This record gives sequence, C-alpha cells and structure tokens, in this order.
Amino acid sequence: MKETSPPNITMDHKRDAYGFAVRPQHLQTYRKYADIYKAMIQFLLEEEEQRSNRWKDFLGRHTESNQLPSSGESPISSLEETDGNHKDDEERDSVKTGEEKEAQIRTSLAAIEQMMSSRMMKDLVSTEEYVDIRGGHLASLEEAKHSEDSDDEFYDVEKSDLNQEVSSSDSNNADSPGVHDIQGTAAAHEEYFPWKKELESLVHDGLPMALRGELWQAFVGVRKRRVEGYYNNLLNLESDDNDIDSKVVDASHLNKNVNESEKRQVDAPEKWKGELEKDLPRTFPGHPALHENGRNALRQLLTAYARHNPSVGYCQPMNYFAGLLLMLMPEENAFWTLVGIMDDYFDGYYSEEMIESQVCFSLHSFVILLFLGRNFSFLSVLTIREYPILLHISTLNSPEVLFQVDQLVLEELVRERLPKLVNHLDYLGFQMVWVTGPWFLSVFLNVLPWESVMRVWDVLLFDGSRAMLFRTALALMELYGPALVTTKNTGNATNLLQSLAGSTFDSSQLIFTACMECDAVSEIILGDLRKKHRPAVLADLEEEKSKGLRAWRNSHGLASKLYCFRRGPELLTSANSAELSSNMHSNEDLHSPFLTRKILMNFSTGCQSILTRIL
Amino acid sequence: MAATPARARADYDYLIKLLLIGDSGVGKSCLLLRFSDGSFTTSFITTIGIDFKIRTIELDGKRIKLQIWDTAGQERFRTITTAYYRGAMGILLVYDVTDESSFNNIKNWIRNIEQHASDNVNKILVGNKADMDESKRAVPTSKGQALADEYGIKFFETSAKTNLNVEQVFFSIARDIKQRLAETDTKAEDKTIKINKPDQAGAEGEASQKSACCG
Repeated sequence: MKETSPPNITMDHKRDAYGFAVRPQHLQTYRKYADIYKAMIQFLLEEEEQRSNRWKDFLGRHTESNQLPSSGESPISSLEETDGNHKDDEERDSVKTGEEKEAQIRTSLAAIEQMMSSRMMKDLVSTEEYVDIRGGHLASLEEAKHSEDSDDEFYDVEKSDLNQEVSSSDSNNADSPGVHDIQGTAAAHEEYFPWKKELESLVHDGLPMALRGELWQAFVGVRKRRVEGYYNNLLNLESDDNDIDSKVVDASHLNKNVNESEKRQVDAPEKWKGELEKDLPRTFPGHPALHENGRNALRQLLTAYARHNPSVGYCQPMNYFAGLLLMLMPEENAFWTLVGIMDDYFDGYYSEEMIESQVCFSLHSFVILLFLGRNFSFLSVLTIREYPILLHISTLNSPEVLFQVDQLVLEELVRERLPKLVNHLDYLGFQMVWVTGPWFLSVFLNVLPWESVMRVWDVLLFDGSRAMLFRTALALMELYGPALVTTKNTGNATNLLQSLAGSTFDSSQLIFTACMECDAVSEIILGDLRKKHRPAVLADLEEEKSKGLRAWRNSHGLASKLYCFRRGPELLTSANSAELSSNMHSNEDLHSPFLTRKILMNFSTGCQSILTRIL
Repeated sequence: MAATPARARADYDYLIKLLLIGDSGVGKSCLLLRFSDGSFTTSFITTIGIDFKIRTIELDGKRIKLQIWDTAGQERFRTITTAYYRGAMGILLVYDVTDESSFNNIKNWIRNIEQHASDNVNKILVGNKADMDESKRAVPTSKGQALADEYGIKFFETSAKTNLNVEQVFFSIARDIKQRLAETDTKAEDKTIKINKPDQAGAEGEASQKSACCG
C-alpha cells in the first residue's frame, strides 16, 4: 500500500488522478471532463497545500493546548508505516522538524480520537467484553487491552461521562432514557473539546491526503477498538469445508452467546468465500495499491471481517469500503476501521425482542434482512430502535422499509427545496430512487469522482451519521437540477444525472453546497421525517400483509395490465379504470418498478408471503 | 423545455424495458456494455444495486427504444432488484458457461421471475463467456439448450468479449416483445390512441407538463 500518494498529475483516460479505473460506462463523460480536470489540477494542488498547512497548524496548536504527552508510543501502533507513505510531503515541508511534527500530530490525533470515541456506542466496556468473549481463543488480549488502557489515562478526559452517547445531533438520543444527562454531557463535551467547531470546519474543507487515513481512523475510533492479535487470530481460523446448509451458519447471529456463534463460525462452511473471490479482481481493478499484495490484503481484510461478524459475512459494497480503506491505511487498521463502520452503530442488533420476533419467519429471510439492514443504514443509529418494531410487523419487508423510508425522506427533502425540479421529474415519471438508491448503497463510491467521494466520506465519518448521504444527494440535485429540468424523458434524465454526478470534480463546491444543508438536514430532522414516513409504509405493509397472496395476485394482475401497453401516454388515454389512473403519473414511464408506493408494497408483501410459504 | 416536445416524444415507436439477471460475475454488465457502447473491458467492477442503459434499435422499420436494466447478482441485493422485475417486458437470464453453479442457479432465477415479474414477460436464456477455452467450459451447449427447451424459451451462447451473439440476443428478445405488443395492440382495437400518432401523445404530455411545472 506504499504506492498510495497524493493525486498525481498524469492523466490517461482509463484511470483518474487517484489511479482508479474510470468506469467504462463513464469513460465518455470522463474524457469530456478530463480537460477541465487537468486545468483544475494546479488549483487542486494549491488547495491541498493550503489544507495541509491549516491542518498542521491546527494539530500543532492543539498538541500544546491540550498538553498531551508527545509520547513516543504511537496510539495507532502502525502509524509510522502509514507516515511512510507520505514521507515526500513531510520532507517538502520541513525535513529537520519532520519527526517532531509527526509526534505532535500523533498526539493531536489521539485527542481527536478521544473526542470522537466519546460518541462511540461500543465503548471500552464492550471492547472488554470482546476480550472476555473471545478470551478462549485470544488469551493474551486482556493484557494487551489493559496496557492500552493505561495509555489512555494520559489524556483521559473524564471518560466515564463521555462514554455516553453525546453527539447532540444524534436523534437516537432524543428518545433515549437520559436525555438530560446527555444534554449535560454534550455541554461538557463542548467544554472539553472547545476546538470541535474549528475541527468541524476543517473537516468540511477537506482532509489533507497525507493525514486522511489517520484522521479517518481517529474519527472511527480505531485505537479504542483495536485488540492486539484479534485480527491475526481471525485470519488463522481454519474453516471446515463440510458443506453444511448455510442457513445454519447464518443463523449464528440469533444466538446471544457469541462463544456459540464463534464455534459455529469456525465449524461452518464459509459460503461467502466464493462471492468474495469473484469480487476481488472487480474492486477498483488495476489500481496500483491493489496489485497482488494489495489484493491479498483485500482478501484478508474481508475474510477477517466476515469471520468477525458471521451474521453479515461478506456483502458487496464492503469490497469497495475495504479497498478504499486499504488505500489509506495499513491492513489491520483498515480492518478496525471497517469494523467501526459496519458494527458500531448496530449495537443492540441482537437484542432479545429481535430474536423473539423473528420466530415466525424463516431464518433465511431474517439473515437477508440483517445484511440489507446493515448495508442501507450502516451509519445509522436511529434504525437500531426501529428494528424491533419493524420486525413485529414484518421482518421480511424491513430492508425494503428502511430503504424505502430513506428514499421517501430524500424525496421529500428534494421536493421541499426544489419543487420545480421534482414536478418535472414527476411529469417524466422519473423515479429518483433509480439514481439515488445506488448512491446511498455505495456511499457514492463509483458515483462521484474520487476527490469528491473522499470529501464526502470525510464528513460522513466525522459526523458519524447518515445525514451526509442526504446532504450530498441534495447538493447534487441542487447543482444539476437546472440541467435535469431540460430533459425530455426518464432515460435522458437518468443518464444525465449519472454523468453529471460522475463529473463532480469540484469537490469543494459539492461539500460547500452539501454543508449549507447542515442545519436543515440534521439527524434530528431526518429522524422526524423517517417517523413521518414510516407509519404510512408500515400501515401499507400491515394491511397488505393481511391480504396476503390474493392481494399480490391482484396487484400483480394490475401490474401486468399496465405493462402490456407499449407507451405511457397511450396508456393514460386508454386506461378505463379509475383505479388505475389514480395510481399513476401522466408520463412516458409508467413501467417504473416504483410506480407507486402502494403497488410496490402490495407487490412486495405478496411476493414475500409466497416466499415465506415456500421457505 | 418548450422546444420540440412532440419530436422528443416521437423518437421511438416502442419503448421496451429489459432486465438482465443472473449470478454475480457472469458478465451481465459486460453484455450490456458491449451492446450499448460496443466496448469490452476485463477490468470491470461490481454493480451495486442497479444500473441502466439505453439503446435505440430499428426492427422492421420501427424504432425500438430499449431501456435495459442491469442488476446486481449478489443474493442479498435481491429484495431490491426484484422490485424491478415487474416493470420488465423481457428478462435476460444470464449464466457463465465456465461456472456450473451459475447455470444451476438459473432455476432459482426463473422462480424469482415467476414470483415477481408479469406473467407474460418474455424470457431468454444466455450462456455468456462462450469464448473461453473448451477446457474451462463447465456447461455444454446442449445442456443450456435443454434447459431453455424445458422452459420453452430461446437460448443463445454469447461472448461479450468477442461480441459473439450479443446483438442477436437483444434483437431476438426485442423482436418477440414487439410481436407480443403488436398482438396486444390488435386485440385491443377499442384503444383510442394509435401507435403512429406520437404527436398527439406528445402534445398532451406537453400540456400536462406546463400545468405541472411551468405554471
């Protein structure tokens, strides 16, 4: 991974400035914009330099003001390894004081991490549980952890208080028991970290490439999570090749006893292996950082995660997440960062009520639910609470509910801000989810140019909530709305939006636009909107569920009627049924899979009732 | 927006929606890229969720606009991708001739179609990567043909890499769908709008557009 370097200026049309292959579909767009990008590069480099200086200044200042020990011991043990990547940068700035500065930066990072980790859901206690649970396998962990703890004490800022969830922007806290405590803690938080605002503004301005990997780790709280030896132990676990029904493996999450699940994990076949292998060469193909050794690191990282969390195993966007992390940090750190992203906000996932509520549903579907739930909302704290409720109503529909609700929330936000655009898109029959769905799923990887992707991730990881997904989507809609309004049909609209999104090279403009929405699209507001949309979706579900198969057949029949027609406008004029026309838009594209929420819900509920019977 | 709305509406005679499904890694995206852009790349990336491409072809003097949806093959995306089945008029079931399990899974994909797609959706079976060395082949052509016969659907072996049969597959299914639509059209003679009057539809569309967003 040593090859990682700040943007290089060489441009060819197959690879962008970060060394990523340009997606073939976007090649044409890319060519078109490559010239603009070339012209921008000088500007980008200058911007990067300013950014670096600002960060160095910030980190330098806060090392002093926090009087943190500039201990030689690296909080992120392999930090030096990472630093090696950016030696050139450092040299350019000051060769003599380079090492000193590194030490300073390191301690500032520790302070940042301290602040960030205070909002981690899985705090030290649960990390210790980890150690206990896995203790059988990893005997020396407790010791390792303890030595880490003592390290903590140097800059421990009344951790007991701060270990609570303090992020005030976190709507999950709004209805949690100790609201006052939390508010109090949040105030205390501000007091302890008066520089949080400054940091936030720096994050919005972008992280310097040279520090991005370390800062991401600090945001996610890698140092706190890290358990020495755990990663290697996971890799050393030998899996049984017996081809036991995979459902048994996947069911391991149902068992509260993790020892049990780990046993299964070891005994069980690892079904995800095939999928993982298929995706290795398809993850940022040909990227210099992912040549042979890099591929192997990617394999190990994903394997370790799958073993760490067998209920998720391996699923697709993870290959991109892991690949991206590997470009920015050493393998083991990338693992803990991935763990942080995937696991942290899903504490309580295995709570009793969830286990009880799934009884009447097939294990298999439940597992799908978990997979999908994680994908859709891996950064959401809010959804943890929603799960039990959703599960009681319909386990099977939950992933769709979450996804649907989020997309509805986004749609409402866009509708509120850009009514003209939405009217036009409605007229075309353009379903925003076609484009925004993959945006959310992949967290803009392969959607935006890399500089922009990383800037979005900077904010996302710093915020620790999904709000940035919405903000970025809104920003894109705002930026490209005027162009979209000129489109004549859904195909054009989709292509245009995809290609424009792929040409968002001015990351500063994007982030600036996105962050203008910061107050308007806070996690609290999103929470409210989700609450607003959820009942309708759930009510639909419940209603349709009771109708079961027959309802599905009806809607299915209705759908076939719709799709028999060759073109929308004709359909409109030829449709006799009032029932039909009440359900549709006046447009070309009536064949939309998301034609109406009602039909979709009708449909999916029906389908899934069938699925339940089959299973 | 005021510029030639009617013409924009008239740029095709039929709009046909196709869907590509099949296991992860069988080459769905490559087939689509070959068909829509005429290119091929080995360094392809995984499809997250769903993607789509458009190509307008001409069949028997009619302009057919193909809107082709490409889906993620991985099982856990299935709840999302199946939502797209219903809008599809034709479905391409793709497997990899060098990967037997992708062929065996066609049965599951068919079951998915039965559950989620319209009853009369056209289907076609596609064995991709047919350019691969015979030693790597895991599914003989005869087996593919037999399965297609069992389901009463057409069968092609393709190679997105060498451009073998790619056009044929898409044209074949497009032709069948056009045929079906034309039949539906003749049956429903009481339909007020004729297909070759796109201007009327366009004008109407424009009217509603005005009221919707320009008013």
